[in-house]
Formats: sequence, C-alpha cells, structure tokens
Amino acid sequence: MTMGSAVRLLGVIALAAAATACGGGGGGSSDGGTTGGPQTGSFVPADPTPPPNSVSLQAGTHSGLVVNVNVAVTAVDDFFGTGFRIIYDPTVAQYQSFSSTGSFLRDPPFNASGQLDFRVDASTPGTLSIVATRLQNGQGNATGVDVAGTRTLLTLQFLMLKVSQTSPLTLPGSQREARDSQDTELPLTWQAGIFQVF
Amino acid sequence: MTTLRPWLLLASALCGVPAGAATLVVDDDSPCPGAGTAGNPYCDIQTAVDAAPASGTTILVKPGTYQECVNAVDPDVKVVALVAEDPDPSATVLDGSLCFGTSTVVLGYGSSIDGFRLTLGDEGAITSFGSVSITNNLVENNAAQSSGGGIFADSGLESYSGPATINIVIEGNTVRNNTSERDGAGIWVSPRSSGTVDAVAVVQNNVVKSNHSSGVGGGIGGITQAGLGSTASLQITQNTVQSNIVDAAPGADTDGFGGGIWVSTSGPGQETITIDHNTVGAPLGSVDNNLRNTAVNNGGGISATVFAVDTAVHAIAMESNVVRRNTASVDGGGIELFVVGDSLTLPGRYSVLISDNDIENNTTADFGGGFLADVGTVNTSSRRNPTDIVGNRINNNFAGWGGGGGEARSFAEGGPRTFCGVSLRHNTVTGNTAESGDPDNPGFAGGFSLFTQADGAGIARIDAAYNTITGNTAEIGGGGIDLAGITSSNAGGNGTTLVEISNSLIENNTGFGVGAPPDPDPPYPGIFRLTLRSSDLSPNTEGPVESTLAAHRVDVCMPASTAAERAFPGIDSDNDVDGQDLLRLATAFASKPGAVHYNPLTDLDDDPDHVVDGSDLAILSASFGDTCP
Repeated sequence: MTMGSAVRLLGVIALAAAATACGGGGGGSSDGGTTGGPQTGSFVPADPTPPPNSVSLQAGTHSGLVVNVNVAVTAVDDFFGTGFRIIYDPTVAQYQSFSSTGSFLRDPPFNASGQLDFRVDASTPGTLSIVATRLQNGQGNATGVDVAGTRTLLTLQFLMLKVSQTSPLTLPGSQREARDSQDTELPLTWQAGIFQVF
Repeated sequence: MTTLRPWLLLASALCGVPAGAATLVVDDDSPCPGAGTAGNPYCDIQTAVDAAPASGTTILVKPGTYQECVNAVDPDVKVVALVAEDPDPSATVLDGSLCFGTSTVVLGYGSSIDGFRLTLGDEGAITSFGSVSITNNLVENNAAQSSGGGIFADSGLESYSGPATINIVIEGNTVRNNTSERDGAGIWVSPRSSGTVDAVAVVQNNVVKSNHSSGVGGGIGGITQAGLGSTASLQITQNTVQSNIVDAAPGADTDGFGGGIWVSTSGPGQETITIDHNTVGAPLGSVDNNLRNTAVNNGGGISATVFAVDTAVHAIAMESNVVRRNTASVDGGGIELFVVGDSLTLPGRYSVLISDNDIENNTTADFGGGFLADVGTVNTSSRRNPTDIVGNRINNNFAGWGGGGGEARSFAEGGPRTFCGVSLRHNTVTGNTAESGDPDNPGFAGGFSLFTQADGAGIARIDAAYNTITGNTAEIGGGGIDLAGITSSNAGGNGTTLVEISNSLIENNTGFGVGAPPDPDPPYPGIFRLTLRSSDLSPNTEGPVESTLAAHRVDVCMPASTAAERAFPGIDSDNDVDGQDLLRLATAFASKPGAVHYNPLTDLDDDPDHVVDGSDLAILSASFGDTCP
C-alpha cells in the first residue's frame, strides 16, 4: 500500500465511520477545516423547549462527526402526518440516513406495513424532501396521534464534512405542512437550528 | 293460453276457501257478493279487502276486468297482498275510470300489489304509504292532478307506527302513458324518515315510458327527506326510461326539470340517492330519437338536486347509466346536477359522484349538452364536499351556446374560507359541439365549459385531469375547454378562483385547446389562476391556449406529449413531487369517489374503480423528488 492510498483510505474511514477516535489531528477536511484535536459535531436547536403545536428539529445523539437530528412534535392533537423540506449546506454536512423506529406514528395499532409511509429524498444536494405519515384506511377513520409533550417523529443522521463551522438548517415556509386525520392542515410553529462542529 | 302461478293454485287448493283464511279469491265472473273461496269467489276486490283481517291476507284475483276503487287504508288499514293469478298483467285489469279524485288502488303499511294492469285512474293508479311492494304491474293511461300519475309511493310517516325501517319496492313494472300535473308522471317515490324510523326505497327493473309531467320528473320523480338522526335512501336502478316529457306552466321557474328522472335530497338527516345502470333515452347503438326524454327546462335525461344544510349528510351517485339522445330546452341535455351546500358543519357534508356513464347525443338549447353540474357552497369551509365527475364517456352532445360536452360550475359564496370544488377526471370527451349560429353570441366550449366564481374570502376550484378531449367544436374560444367565466370578469366575484387542467389530451378540437373570454376593462376584483400541467394541447385549429389567458396562466411541465410525461404526478400546484404531495395522498389513502376522505387529485392511475391505493402511491413514489424539467 502506498502512502497516497493509505491517506485516501483513512479519509474514507473517517467519513463512513464517523471517526470517533480519529485523534491526532488526522482526518483533516479536504477544503480547509482547521485541526488541532478531536472533532465533534452537534446540532443546536433553535428552541430546546419547543412550544405547543410545533414541529421542531432537536438534538439527537452525536458521536464524533456523526450528528443525529430528531424531528420532534410538541403537543399536537390528531397529528396524522407531515411533508416538509430541510435545506442545509451540503458542503458542511452530508445526509446519511433516517430512522423511524421510535416514531410516535407507530403507536399501536399503527405499526404494520401498509399503515405508514416514511420517506426521505436526498437526490438534490442540500435539500431533503421528507414525508412521515400514517395512511388512511378505507373507512376514513384512521386516527392521528394526540401528541403529549415532545415526541420524536423520525431521526435524521448527518455526517459533518467541515470543522470549526456553524451552519443553519432551515424549513422553508412554503414547503412544509402537517395534517390531521380529517385532512385539515394543522396550524403549527416550525423551528429548525444549526449544525456546529468544533 | 296463459300460465297461472302454480304456487297460488296450490295455495288456493289447500285453503279449502273458508272466509277469513289466509287467501281470499276474487273473480269478476262470480256472482256477487261471493264468499272469497275458490268455489265461491268474491266478485270484486274491495269486498275481499273489507273482509280481510288486519294483516296477513293474500287476495288472489282471477283474470278479468275490475272497474272499482280499492282502498286498503281507509277506514282501517288492511295489510294485504293483491295478487293477479295470471302472470300476464294485461289479463287482470283494474279500471279506475270511476275513481273520481282518488287512486284506483290505495294501500301500504306492508301491503303489496303484483301482476295487474291498472288503467284510467283519475288520481293515479296506485297510491301507497309506508312499506309496500309494487311489482310486475302494467300501469298505463292514468292521470293525476298531483304527483305520481302512475304510481305514488310515500313513507306515510304521519300515520306510521310500524317497524324501524320503511321499505318501498317498485320493481318489474311497465309504467307508460301516464300524466301528472305535478311531479313524477310515471312514478313518484318519497322515502321520508324521522326519529327512529328510517326509509329505504328501491325502484328497479321498470320500464317507464311516454309519461308526461307538468312539474318535475317526466318519467320518475323522487325525493328523500330524512329527519334529524334518521336515514333515507332511494335507489333507482336498472330501469328503462324513455320518451317521457316534463313541461311547465309559463313562469313556473322551478318546473320543467328532469325529462326522464328527477330526484332531490331535502332533509336535515342522512340521505343517499343512487341512480345506476339505467337506460335513460335511447340505448347504446340506437339512433332512435323518439326514445329521448324531454325537459322544457333543465336535465333532459336526469335532473338531480342536492340540498344540504347545516349538519345534513347527503350523497348522490349516478353510475353506469346510459343517457342518450335526451333534450333540454335550457341547460343540461343529458344530465343536470344542482348542488347547494349551505353552512355545512360537521357532520354535515355532501358528496356527488357521476361516474362511468355513457352520455351521448344529448342536446340542449343553452349550456351543457351532455351535462350541467352547477355546484355551490355557502359559508362552508370544509374541503370535503366532493363533486366528482369521473370516467364518463361524453360524446357527440350538442349545446346551443356553451359546453357541448358539459359545463361545470363552481361557486363559493360567503365567507370567510368558503370552499367549493368540482373535479372532472378520466373522462372521454369527443365529438361534442357548441354552436349557436348567432354571431353576436357564438357557441363556446366544444368539450368542457368551466365556470368558477367566488365571493368574499371564498375559493372556487375546478380540477380537470386525465381527460381525453378531442374532436370537439366551438364557434369561439376553446374548442376543447373554455373557461366561460373567471373571477375577474364576473361582477360580484371578488374571491379566489382556481382552475387546474392537468395530465390531459386536448387536441384536434376546432377552436383553441383552452380558451376564455377577455377580461373586462377595468377588471372586477378577485383572483383567478389557471394552472396547466402535464397536458398535451396541440394540435387545435386556433392554437393551444387563447391569449386572453396569458395574465392568469401558470404552466407546469408543459407540454406533455407522451404518456409518461402526462403521468408525471404531483398533487399540489407546485412543480415538484415532494412530501406535501405524498401527505395528501396519505390522508386520502384507500378512499374512492364518494368517500369522505377521497381526494380526486390523488387518484393518479387509471384503474376503473378509482380507489386511491398502492398503485397511486407507487406512481407518486417513483417520481418522489422529481421536478419539472
């Protein structure tokens, strides 16, 4: 193995495995990030205690440069589903995956396939198009969730690409909505936050 | 030789014919009065009715002519089964020529009549109240000053004390050449319910022909009326309705509707009207214009009204009918639909479905050769009051002014937030014509005429998607579709009106693909937007879109000349497929037209049942994240 290929391999490992202990100042970013110690990414929500009737982005777990962002819903009655977009700087963060395992939409008896639809499209760099919803039934009587407190709708995982950066995530107002089981749009507050890596 | 009903012969033989038994026998050839036995029948039917106990008696009538008036209601209700022994109805005649001011037969509350020829009735042939079964009769040449020249069937709630459901069955009759100075010259049926009593009426497999009304409903008239907490339903199915006429006295603006069939909802409860699998006018393949039904006002074939107020829950469906060669002197040559949703609040709602009908060769003097759908809401914010016109074949109709194939109107009146929507999807619209021959008022909208008007904060919307609109002809404007009115060109319209035409073929029409009249100068207030999406609008003789629409028009993914491009989905009005589109499909998932949560915009595929299902989700999913090129 040549030195060059070893360096490239190190870079791949750092990106894919989040470099939890890459240490030693290795793994410097390719476009000018500073180094000097273990790098840690995180997400800072606009409001860590979101108000009732809101959808917000909240900090999930993070490990090294891997940052989880929870899409949270607070105190909403009959929350059936939502479709929205997240805009972020693709030079700062790279979307990795999503998880709906702990979503409140899966509250029984709505935990079977064919009752739910979670989907994230990341084909456009810097834009995530997201849907998380229950599916109505033939009788039209599938219910939404009365969300008490703050609960997680789904979790998005990002990998930070730059260090010593802050970068906002936004939820464009014209491309977000949530609906109740009667297909009425819910009047909600939407809150995002920022990535930071230091 | 006629074939007698074997079960009746057996019953008679077993009876031993004692008076007061389960079967009484009547024979006009028998000496009067008789005893009601097989060996000594009564000589007339009324004597048998009078002799019958309160319920449970079959009155078996031998062939012959009975010139009498039969009343099984007054002074005492008798629940009887009047049965003609000979299955040929012409063999057993009930002649009502001596029944001045009353029907030839009055019965109900569980009674039935089967197999007679009823004729020359002075106030209709049959009047019934409560549950009744009227089957296999020939009802002809009767007259009435009131409704129901042939048959009048009403719930009779005012005197009703029976079971929780009133069942009215009118089946297998031939009803012809009857007249009424009011409504339903052939058949009038009014299932009314109240409190704990529901009502169900079925009009099935009848031939209703050449009747003449001067109110509404030349052939059949029906109205549902459900009191609060009760349900009333009317199904008119598998009938042949031909050559009927409805006219009106001069100045009687509410008369003259529904040459073949007229129906309406009316009450504060839950009401359902279904008109399905009927032949209204000439059958498929026939060119016989003598079979047309005629209305001096609107709705040559069928006229239907939904009148839903406050918490009323009303539904009308017209499915799989053949509506051909009918004529209206004003609007709606084939079908007229008039919908009012007034101050609807949950559970109040209405739903209208016109699906899978053959609407052909109908004519009208003014608007809507094939159909007129005139839909309006007042002070109603819910968007779940669907009017869906889906999967019809609308061909070769003629309008003398606008909308050769049909005209859809959406009115949202009052506010704030009043919404009215009409959806036309998956229809085939070909060979229709709008032609006046008057250069001052030229014919417009060869295929569809779409008219929207909204007042105040109202939103009036029409969606036309997945339609094939070809070979239609107009003298001015849109040969395919014409937006007959837009908010800014209508006095009083100061709300928001939206028309979206998507995923359609609009080509080879005479005129523009899509046209509209010019805005007035100065314009009236209000917002109008036309969204054209993923449709193919050429060639048309005058071009794709008339220039009058330039200021109002939003093009999305235009043109779409291939099926794949036309299949590009997207449910909201932006130019991409994202979570909002999927969310709308999710909330309408598993629904079909007429369901409370049906959203026609989410019905993306072309399956015949139009259910929003996994197929639609798959189409949307395949384009998830796509944007228009």
